[in-house]
Amino acid sequence: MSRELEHIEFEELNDYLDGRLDSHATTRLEEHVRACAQCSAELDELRGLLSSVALLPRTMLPADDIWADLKTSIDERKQVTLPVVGGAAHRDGLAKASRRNSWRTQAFMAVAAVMLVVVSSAVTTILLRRGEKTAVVLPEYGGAAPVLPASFRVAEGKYITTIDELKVAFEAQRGSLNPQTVRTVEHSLTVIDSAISEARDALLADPGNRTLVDLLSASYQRKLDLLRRSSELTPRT
Amino acid sequence: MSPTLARKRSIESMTAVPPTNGGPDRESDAALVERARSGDVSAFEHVYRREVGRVYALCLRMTGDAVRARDLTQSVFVRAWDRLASFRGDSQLSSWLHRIAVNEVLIEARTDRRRQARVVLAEDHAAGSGGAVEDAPAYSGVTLPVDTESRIDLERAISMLPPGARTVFVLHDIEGYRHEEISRMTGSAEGTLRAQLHRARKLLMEALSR
Repeated sequence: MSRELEHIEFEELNDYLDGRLDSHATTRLEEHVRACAQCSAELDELRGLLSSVALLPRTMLPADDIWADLKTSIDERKQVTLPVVGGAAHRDGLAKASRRNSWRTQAFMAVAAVMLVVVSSAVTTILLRRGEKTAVVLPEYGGAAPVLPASFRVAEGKYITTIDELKVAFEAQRGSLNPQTVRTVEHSLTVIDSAISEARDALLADPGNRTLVDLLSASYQRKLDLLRRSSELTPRT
Repeated sequence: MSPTLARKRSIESMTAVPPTNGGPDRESDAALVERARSGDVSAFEHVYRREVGRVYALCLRMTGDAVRARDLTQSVFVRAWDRLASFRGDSQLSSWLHRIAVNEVLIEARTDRRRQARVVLAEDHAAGSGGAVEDAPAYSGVTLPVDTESRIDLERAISMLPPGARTVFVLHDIEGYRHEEISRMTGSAEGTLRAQLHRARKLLMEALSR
């Protein structure tokens, strides 16, 4: 059987309708289809499918209105972004700071993270030294484990949930990012985690210290902001 | 009533959503986003009302599951709220939201272990080992716009495609993304994507000819 009488492969019919064939292949296919009822029928069927698909509606609505649930999620989100510690002015300040997003470069991310851990460590150390005379001695055995203030535990839970979600988003596009960028982000996260760990330990030892609560909140917020920006990086940046 | 008939009637009761291409009173994307950025939830609700139809349609077609599509749609808008600061206005708000939606669905598909069971089901069906319409996943109770019975059949057949083929088909043939764009989004090679697209079209032709 000559090549002209061989049926056209389905893949080639697809490439033809998608405009992926060169002029020679296009001419050969069209000549064959004119002479071959089977290939002509298959091409018509495929063309009909694509025509039907083109007529499908682009919009659909769920059976019930999502907005009420969505608004609840957004309100909860706002509480995470605006932690319960501090007053409204403090919350507004954090939100505006987050939106300004002053971290323009990867290098600045790293520097900011390092600065955060240095400042956090210094503040934590100062606070611990100040509190030495009145520090509560926790029982080593048999006593209740130290706990964070109840008001902060709720905020911390929301921070952690959001951070976990952003980690998933970051991981999803890790492969498409510049390896140097990934290393910078990971280093910054390590630094921030260190600051969180230090501030958290200090707060466990001194649960009534509101400055430590603010410090720990700021560290979580920094981690959240870093992950949020990282998950929004464009490929190969 | 047979399960097939029940499903068919639930789908036939669906209504089309009016196009949201906007008119002269349509508030600009930039103005809406600016208000939403300042914490105006009502502005964001306006965005939601305008775009939810397109986002939900994408989520539904890519998952073939109304419950997951609803959850994903909610996640998309929560994510959009979080990222309002990153919307720079160099693309349309609808395109920006659409991209977030695609990412959300792809992330969910990677992390959701339930997907494995669906892969087996869909593959079995594709191989002709049973799996009639009664096995179709999760369109019951969904609000699909349907003009003709053939459109119902087409939507159902799309929902029954294997996940990988369905993703490529929806993104390429329905949403109009190019192969190189889908490749960037999914991490799959363009050749693989083309093969999956051709497979999806073949399966659809077979399903619709029964």
